[in-house]
Amino acid sequence: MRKIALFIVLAITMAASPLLVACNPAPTTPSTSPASTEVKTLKVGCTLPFTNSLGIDTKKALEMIVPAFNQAGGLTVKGQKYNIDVIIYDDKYTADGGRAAVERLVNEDKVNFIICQVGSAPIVAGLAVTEPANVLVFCGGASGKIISPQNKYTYGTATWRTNLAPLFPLLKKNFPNAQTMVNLSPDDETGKALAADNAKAAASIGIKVLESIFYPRDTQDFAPFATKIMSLKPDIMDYPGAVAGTQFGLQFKALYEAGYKGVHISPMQPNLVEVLAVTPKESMENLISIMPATDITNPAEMAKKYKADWVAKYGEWSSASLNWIPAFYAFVEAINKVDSVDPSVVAAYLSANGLQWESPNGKGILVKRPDLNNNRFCDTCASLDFGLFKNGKYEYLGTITAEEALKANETAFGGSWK
Amino acid sequence: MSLGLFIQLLVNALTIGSIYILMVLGLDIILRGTKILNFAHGQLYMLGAYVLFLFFQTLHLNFALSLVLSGASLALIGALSYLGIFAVLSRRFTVSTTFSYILLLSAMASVGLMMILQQGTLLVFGTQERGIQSPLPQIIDVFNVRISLMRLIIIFLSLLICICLYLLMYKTTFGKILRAVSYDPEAVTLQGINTSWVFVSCFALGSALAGLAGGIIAPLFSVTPSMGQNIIFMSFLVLLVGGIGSYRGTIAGGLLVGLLLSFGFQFMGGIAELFVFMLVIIILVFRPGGLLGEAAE
Repeated sequence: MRKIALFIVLAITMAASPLLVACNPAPTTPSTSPASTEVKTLKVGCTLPFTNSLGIDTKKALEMIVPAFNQAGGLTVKGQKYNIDVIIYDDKYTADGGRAAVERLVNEDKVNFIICQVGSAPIVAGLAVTEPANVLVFCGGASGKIISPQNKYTYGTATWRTNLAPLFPLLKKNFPNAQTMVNLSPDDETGKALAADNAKAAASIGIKVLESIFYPRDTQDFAPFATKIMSLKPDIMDYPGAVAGTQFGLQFKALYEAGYKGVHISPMQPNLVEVLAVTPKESMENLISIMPATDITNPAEMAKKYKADWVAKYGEWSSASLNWIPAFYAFVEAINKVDSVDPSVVAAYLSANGLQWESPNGKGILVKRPDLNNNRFCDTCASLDFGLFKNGKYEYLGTITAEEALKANETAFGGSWK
Repeated sequence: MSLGLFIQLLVNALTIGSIYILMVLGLDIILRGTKILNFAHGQLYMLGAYVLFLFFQTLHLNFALSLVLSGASLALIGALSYLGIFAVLSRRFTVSTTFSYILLLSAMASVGLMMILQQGTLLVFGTQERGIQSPLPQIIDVFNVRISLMRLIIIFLSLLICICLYLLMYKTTFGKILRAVSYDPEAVTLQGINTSWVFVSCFALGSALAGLAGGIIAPLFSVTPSMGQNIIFMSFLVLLVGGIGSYRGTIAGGLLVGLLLSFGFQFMGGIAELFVFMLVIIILVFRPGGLLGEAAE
């Protein structure tokens, strides 16, 4: 039996290796329009996690909007028409997976543009490839490393770093007695970056952060975390970096079972179908979060069309892609504005002049980040719609414009972002 | 520490500990009976959760019936896997084949099975996480201690399965044969017993236990194709802590690891997992057979 025990130790080491379950799926491409003699193809890369709703839905979104965009005429640069061909690889939501996927895009597929990536870990790992290769990246992700001053070709088009400052005043207005907060975050690049930013934004309006608790990304049992949180007795629970689907629901469920009755805040749009599949409605009471622009009282035409097209193509509506898809619209607007497909020319223009775009998720504007010592336009402030879960219903709370969001961030973090 | 906090931590520990116990009992039965270190055990656990999802959430069957069907389905899958892979492999072994070689080849075959089950599940169910609403969402609130009824039921069901397994293994002829095979299969063959079917039974029973563990825990967690990857890692650690081939050791190991994780996290945060690894190293150095394993006994 000693032999078996030793063998198990060796075997565990092997089992822990992700290589055992690694797979290398073929790339998927949403482009369906064949290029004619006049129309060239512009290859654009994307890496997404194929294992959670953020990645799955963003992939579905690209498969919906890119062919429609090509059919509507595609891009025109200096009179030359281009159809966009998006090549998507699985980044497994990990640094290793992200780096491998980006290397494949840059070295094998020779893309000059990468868009719509989701997680910080794969994005940050991929930057070591994209920056030296002058590949322009429009991505999501929350890590401050994405908009580090040494990056010249990378733009954060999701609002994770900038939607906290507008959220806290809204929280204060609706729950003036809430004074203390606990962050519950994944123990990775995204979670740690957002927890630090949240603590800073909360402190700027006098909310005390009692503790930031980190959990492994694949955690399912949140009961030990909930028990610990209950012993800290916070007024506010914050979930920076959580995937706002099933896992989000498991967090609510554990806290509800432990007896938590305070406020929940999240800068994520909760995927209510997935959340409510694992937790009762009551557990979500007093949640303030970003509400999908498609689901507010009077959505914009672009948002309405996006939702209608989604329902027509996929049946059931899911809003999980809305945070990541603005990267596509920013990319298109950048190419149109600069009238070039040379990433160096586009990057030089954007970094100096900024950009504005409209997407189904509302208006976005590129901003500078002097608080992070980055004086080029690199990050995004966007219009934000908020909702409150009250009496079992998710109700629209209000909208903050992109300009208001910018001002709130300047107040919280300092400096001129314009 | 208040009594309320202590009870809550204890319930958390017992919940996760009892799932480890079910997993490791299955792993141990397969290991002792068939000499297969089954790396696919985590995927059998995952399949158990999916089967429960199918019967309970999709077909709206009763939870208890769904759970029974989950165990039965996994027993069938386990038996077929054994017949299709391991029985074929074992025909290549001769009297001169060393034990280490048998163990290594079987383990590698189980890695193959693990990948087949993992990718098969991805193909059939997709990558999306599935949620199962708890059949017992009630919270018991006694003296300011809030305990989920579902967690208590999980502990109770695991205990019940452990008792049934004990009775099966120690109070029936079938159990006697299973235990005898683990010590000396040749001697059992000489008694006129068809050991091939005993091996199949061992694998089916172990798989059923993994399926039941997955089914029981499914309403508490979410169901994902990757849910088997972590639990198998912890199960091996529990097996090393408790000791291979010891029913009592498995229970002690599961409870100890559950308690370490639950209480450790409360007072030391994420570093608590490190204590489990340290415990394994200490046990391997001073009691290589585990706390109550064969070498210790």
